[in-house]
Amino acid sequence: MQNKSLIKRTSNGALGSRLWWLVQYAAVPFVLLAGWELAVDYGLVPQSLIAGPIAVAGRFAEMVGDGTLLRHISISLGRLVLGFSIGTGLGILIGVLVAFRPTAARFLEPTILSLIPIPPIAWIPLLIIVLGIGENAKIALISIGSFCTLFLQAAYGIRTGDRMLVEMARVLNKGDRAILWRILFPGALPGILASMRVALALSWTLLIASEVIASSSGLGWLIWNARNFSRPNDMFVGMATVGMLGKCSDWGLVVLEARLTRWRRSFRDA
Amino acid sequence: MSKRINLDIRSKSVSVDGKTVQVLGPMRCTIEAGSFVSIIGPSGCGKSTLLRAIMGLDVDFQGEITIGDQAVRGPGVDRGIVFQEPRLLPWASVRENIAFAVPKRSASATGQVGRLIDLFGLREFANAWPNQLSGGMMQRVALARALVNLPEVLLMDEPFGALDAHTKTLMQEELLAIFGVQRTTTAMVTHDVEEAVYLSDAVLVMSGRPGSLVDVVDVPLKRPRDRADPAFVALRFGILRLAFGAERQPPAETL
Repeated sequence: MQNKSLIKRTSNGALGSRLWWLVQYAAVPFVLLAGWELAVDYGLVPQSLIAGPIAVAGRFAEMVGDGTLLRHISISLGRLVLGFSIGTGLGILIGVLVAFRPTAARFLEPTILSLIPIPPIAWIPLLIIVLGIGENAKIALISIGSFCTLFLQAAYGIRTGDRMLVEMARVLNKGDRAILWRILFPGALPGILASMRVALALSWTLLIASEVIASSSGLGWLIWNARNFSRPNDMFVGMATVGMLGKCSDWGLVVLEARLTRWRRSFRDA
Repeated sequence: MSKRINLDIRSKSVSVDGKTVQVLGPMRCTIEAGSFVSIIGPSGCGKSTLLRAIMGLDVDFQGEITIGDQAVRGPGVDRGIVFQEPRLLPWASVRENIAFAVPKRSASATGQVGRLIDLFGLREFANAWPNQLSGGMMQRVALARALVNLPEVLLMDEPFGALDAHTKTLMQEELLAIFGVQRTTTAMVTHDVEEAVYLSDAVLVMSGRPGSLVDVVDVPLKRPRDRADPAFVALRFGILRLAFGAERQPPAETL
């Protein structure tokens, strides 16, 4: 009798906990979406300026269907990937160089450190004057943001490398190349990967900013243009697309980081 | 093959807070080829500085250290080195860590890596990362790494100092077994007098700063040694008194 009730309670508990798990994830998005839809439906916000989620979802399907959304996505992603790769690559390369070679640090570091405090957005007018309003200015802007983030992190990561391991390599008569690539760089890698996530988020910001300011295509333009022509559906489709793509790209870096730093015994793996 | 280490140090000074401090005083002695010598002395007497000089990590001193006929000018793979910490690459497997010491890719060295993995009972952990190993296992990997190039001398700075008593005893046995086969000239810094007497052919006793040679105590006992043997105990207390002062008198009945 007692046994039976115990079993029943356990299975109930399992079902209950699965339901509870779902509630934890779904509660906040559901309340937000429902509140938003009701606010639009009952006229609490002007329908000419704000669209409800159901209308937005319909417009989303429409724009996927006629290919406009995919066109803007591919243009924006092209700019993002190119700018992020150039900025990240150069930032890591020069950061490592400056941290490892004092001569390089004397030549380059004061200049770079004086330029970093200039917010990337402040570069926009100069970039447009020099590179025009085409693709290059946008890619350069995104590169600047990624470069600054990765330069600081890579230089810091190399400089704070484990001296005891370097000493171990020295007694084994290892040269600079082995010390850099077998010891200092792998040690700096977890921090570099974490900084790449920061740089990626910044890249999305700079992408949208540059497309809002000077563009006739891309997701930033889509959002801004829709506002200008009072098409709230399109505006929200653009925002939601950026949000989803941003989340996916960040997830990609998280997976990469987990793969490359499996040797660590982290709090998260406990 | 294993080589003789000749120490002829006049003095070694370091700069601390802008002041010059002499850390090593006159010190002349020879560690014979194929012998196992421990270096013991009070904390801060320069034992580790001396060992670092032999390693070639710090050769800024008056005097000369030779290995065989070769004066030490810098580090080299003729010396195998074990630190108190394992100092393994955390991102490299056990096998990669041992192979890291090999200068160039060579078939014989690769075979040597495998042989050492077996010798130290690390076969099942060959592809494991250091954070998956126990402290004793990590130090075994460090010892394998030090031996992979078949060094002429083995230099160890308190290699078992961070291990628990049981693991330490096991590691001492493994070290003796390997030493018995290879007869690599070995110099080990330790603060554990019992360990020094148990392992060594001779114990170099150093004075406090500036560290200089107080005495070389030969350990004429046959291996395997018995830690409870009265002759062993007598040697142990004799060295304790030499190294750490007369206040550490042994109880009368143990002598």
